[in-house]
Amino acid sequence: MDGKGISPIVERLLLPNHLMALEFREGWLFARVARRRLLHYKPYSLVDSLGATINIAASSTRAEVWLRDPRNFKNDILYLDTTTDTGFPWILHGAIGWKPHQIFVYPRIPEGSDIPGKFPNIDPIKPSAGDFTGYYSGHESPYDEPTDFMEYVIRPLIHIGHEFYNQDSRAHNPVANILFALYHFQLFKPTLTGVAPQNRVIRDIALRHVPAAFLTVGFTSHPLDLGDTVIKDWDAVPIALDQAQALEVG
Amino acid sequence: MPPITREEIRERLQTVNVYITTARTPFFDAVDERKIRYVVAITLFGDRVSTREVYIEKLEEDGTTYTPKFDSINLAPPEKVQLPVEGKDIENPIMSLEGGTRLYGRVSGNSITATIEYWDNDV
Repeated sequence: MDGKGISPIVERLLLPNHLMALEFREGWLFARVARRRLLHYKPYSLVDSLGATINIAASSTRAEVWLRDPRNFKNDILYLDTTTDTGFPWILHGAIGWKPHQIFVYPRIPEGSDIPGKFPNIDPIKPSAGDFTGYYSGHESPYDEPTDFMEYVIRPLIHIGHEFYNQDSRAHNPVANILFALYHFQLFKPTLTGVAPQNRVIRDIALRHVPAAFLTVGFTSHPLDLGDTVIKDWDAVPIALDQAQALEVG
Repeated sequence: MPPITREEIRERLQTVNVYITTARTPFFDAVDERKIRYVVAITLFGDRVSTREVYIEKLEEDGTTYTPKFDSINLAPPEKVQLPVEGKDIENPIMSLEGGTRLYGRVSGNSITATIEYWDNDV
């Protein structure tokens, strides 16, 4: 890429012991990566709910689908079916490169929701019309080097949907390079009144005193909610950045 | 955004075969206004009957002006003539057509087969 804010996703993925702040609709969570595993599915050939290859005709659309495992098409590849794993909360972080580049990809996070990434003052995006906004393609996120043009941070128990439009005059099967890191992480717990052991690291992240990744779960103007189940299972205490900066550290 | 790659150009390459007659024959519909079309090569095949002259013209955006691009190409009956004569390269087109224009072929008699290869600067 050209250094103008679009980076190969491998430059954005975290390593064990890296700090991160995760933005949800309810507020921010602060954490440290305990384990990381790189995952890829390459080449991934798009299939439908019956496992049939999706071949999108010229100048045609494909309604929303999960990225299903072609070996067992009941499974959504980007789905975490439990809130924790081996005692840790977990989350997926990564990107998808596509080819051919004439295929426009319109993500929905979560499935069935509005398409993210549109200019705030324009009408809703219609993938069925091949709208020239709200999409990304193999040009922005190349198959061989997926970028953070569309950076996915996916919490457990949520499905991601994708719609497609083929801008070419020939039919194509979208092929992806799904490149993710799976983080098992230690969640820091803030104590809003009084001094507590993990207040300091949370405050330091919020004040940028220590390097940390800031990741929005979902999309910028629409961070995903944590949901009651995840909050309970993670024992999570989402707080505002202002609250994090004002924590007492003794 | 990164510039378009050579691989992307290869993916965009289109090959169209048309029969050119004595009337002006379009190679394709008018180029979309938002695009530029790069013509990589035009190959003309003799009609195996007689020597013909072939004319390649561009119809400008005004819809009435035909600008000669390749004039009086001599095509012997068994011959194949390729433009450009010395090899073709997807990144070095022989012609670019802006949005709203078209490309036409015309032959002095009978009809011939022509193949045109092109790609557009945007999807």
